[in-house]
Amino acid sequence: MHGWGIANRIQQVSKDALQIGQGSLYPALHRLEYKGWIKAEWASSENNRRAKFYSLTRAGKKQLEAELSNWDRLNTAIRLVLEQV
Amino acid sequence: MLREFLTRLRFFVSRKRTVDLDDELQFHLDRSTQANIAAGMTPEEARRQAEIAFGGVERTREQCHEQRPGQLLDAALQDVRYALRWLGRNPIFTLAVITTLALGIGATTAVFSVVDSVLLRPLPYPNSERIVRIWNTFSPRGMTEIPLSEPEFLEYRQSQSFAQVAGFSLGTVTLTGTGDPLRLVASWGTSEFFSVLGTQPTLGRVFSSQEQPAGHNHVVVLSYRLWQNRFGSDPEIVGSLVHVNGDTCVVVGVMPSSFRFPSEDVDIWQPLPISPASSNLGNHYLNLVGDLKPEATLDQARAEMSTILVRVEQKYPSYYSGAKGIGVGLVPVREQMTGNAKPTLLVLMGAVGFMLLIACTNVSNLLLAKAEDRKKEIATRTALGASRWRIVRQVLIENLLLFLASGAMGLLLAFFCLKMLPLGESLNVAQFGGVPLNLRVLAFAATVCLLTGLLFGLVPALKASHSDFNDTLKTSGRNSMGNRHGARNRSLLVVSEIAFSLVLLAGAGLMIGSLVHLLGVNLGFDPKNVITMRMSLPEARYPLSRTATLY
Repeated sequence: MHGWGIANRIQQVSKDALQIGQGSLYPALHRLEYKGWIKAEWASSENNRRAKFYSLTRAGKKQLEAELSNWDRLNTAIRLVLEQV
Repeated sequence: MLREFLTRLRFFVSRKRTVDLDDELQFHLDRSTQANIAAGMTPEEARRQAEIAFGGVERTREQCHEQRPGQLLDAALQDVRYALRWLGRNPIFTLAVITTLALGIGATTAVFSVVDSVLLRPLPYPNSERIVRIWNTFSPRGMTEIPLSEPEFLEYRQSQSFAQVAGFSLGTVTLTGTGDPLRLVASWGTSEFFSVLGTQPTLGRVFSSQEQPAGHNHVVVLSYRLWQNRFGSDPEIVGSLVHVNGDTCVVVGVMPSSFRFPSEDVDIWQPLPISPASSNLGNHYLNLVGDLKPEATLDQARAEMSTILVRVEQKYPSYYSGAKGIGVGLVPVREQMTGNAKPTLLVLMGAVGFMLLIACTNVSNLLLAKAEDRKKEIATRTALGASRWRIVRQVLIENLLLFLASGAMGLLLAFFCLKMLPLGESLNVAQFGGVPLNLRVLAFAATVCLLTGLLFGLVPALKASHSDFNDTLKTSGRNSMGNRHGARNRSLLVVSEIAFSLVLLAGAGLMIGSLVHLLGVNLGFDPKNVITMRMSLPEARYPLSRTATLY
């Protein structure tokens, strides 16, 4: 998926609740690429323009799982605390 | 972990092309515009909305570049290049700063290397911290370093505080049988002499206790210097015969070049025959040196020696009856060698320290003044989006470069200072193994350099980045008086500089005063055109009777 697609997708999936600054998406993408969690290749897009497509690498998938379980733990913890109040 | 590192390394080596990034961002904007047009906007409005949603393109591009591994290094190199260019454009300023600092750092380094070799570095003897010189003292006349007589030595060496006590004396001998006769400084020592100091010979062996008694003592140990100069470093020297004062002696060993005990110029060592029955109380010619046992302290040894002295006094009551107030003095060997040079050296160290501080404040002042000049440049850079940290880093790198260059110059200066200074005459430095510019001194110079650079470079750097660029850009920039804040900063520097200078001036004045005092000691006669001469008539060739008739 290319950068514009990612920005759009986030907006759609979160039902416009999350509007990320489109410009700040790119430094983040580049950082992930430098870390080896995603890889990028040039291909032609849906409207036949040259675009940069990003995809998760194996290391990236592992990292994603780790982050997800981390988030789950944090989420559960916060919910537990809030339910007590 | 490893994979991540490899990926980083790959990107570190091969950078992405800038056009790729431009294409990527351009594609995003175009795609947004298309989507907006499809939603019914006019092309101009669609483009405008897309750009608003995206934010600053230039900023995004900068941030993408900053993600690259090794970007910091790139930026630092860029800073260094820029700094070098800037310094090259201001040659007089650069030269002034470097000369001032080089003087300060050079003087400090030179003095430190002397301090290092005399006070800090261990002496070239194993466990030199436990080696102690032993003297008699006589308080009624304020005498602190009286050599001892043979009977005293024989009693003292039974002390339990010392592992060993050796006696030695110093004199001159004539070496013949190896070409031109040579007059050499010689030392006679008892058999413990070398083992107290713990130095192993380079070649052969030292003399043993069997070779100590009179009649068996025809052996010599040579200094490295003598072995090199007179015997051409002959590896077969051990066992050959030389004539010392007319006596035929066997060379048994050669000491290493660092061994210069008891004095720097001694070239030959021979056994000192002392009869265990000696009762010659009147001849105080023996110097004593002992190594303290690990468990004994200097105070314990002093107490024990005093009781031994009491015993000696009781043994020979008639001799000591006129010597009330006699005592024992123990002096660690380093203290003995350093003598009264220690306070002088420390004062000198303090003085050059102050000098360095003055140089630093001077330079700091120069840097501040220069920063006023550069206000406009820095304001422009800030306006173009340079972060404060980036500007501080830039100025700091410039200052560090200046300090490092001065440090290198200073080291050169220190090197020449040490070459030129007549150190050998004022302070027997060679006894301590010479004054080389060693690693410790280099480390010291580097630390001084970096510390002063950071400390005195940081203030101008912070100040440079602090200015409100709006104000600066608005004023015409011809006004270089600076604001009140800057003025206070600088007056602080000037005040401290004057204070330091006063202290230094007073100190230097005092030191020069005492030096003049020393040089002006009245000898009681006019030393002009008077020379002294010595002649030796070895007993072996000139019996006492003949010597007597000669004079």
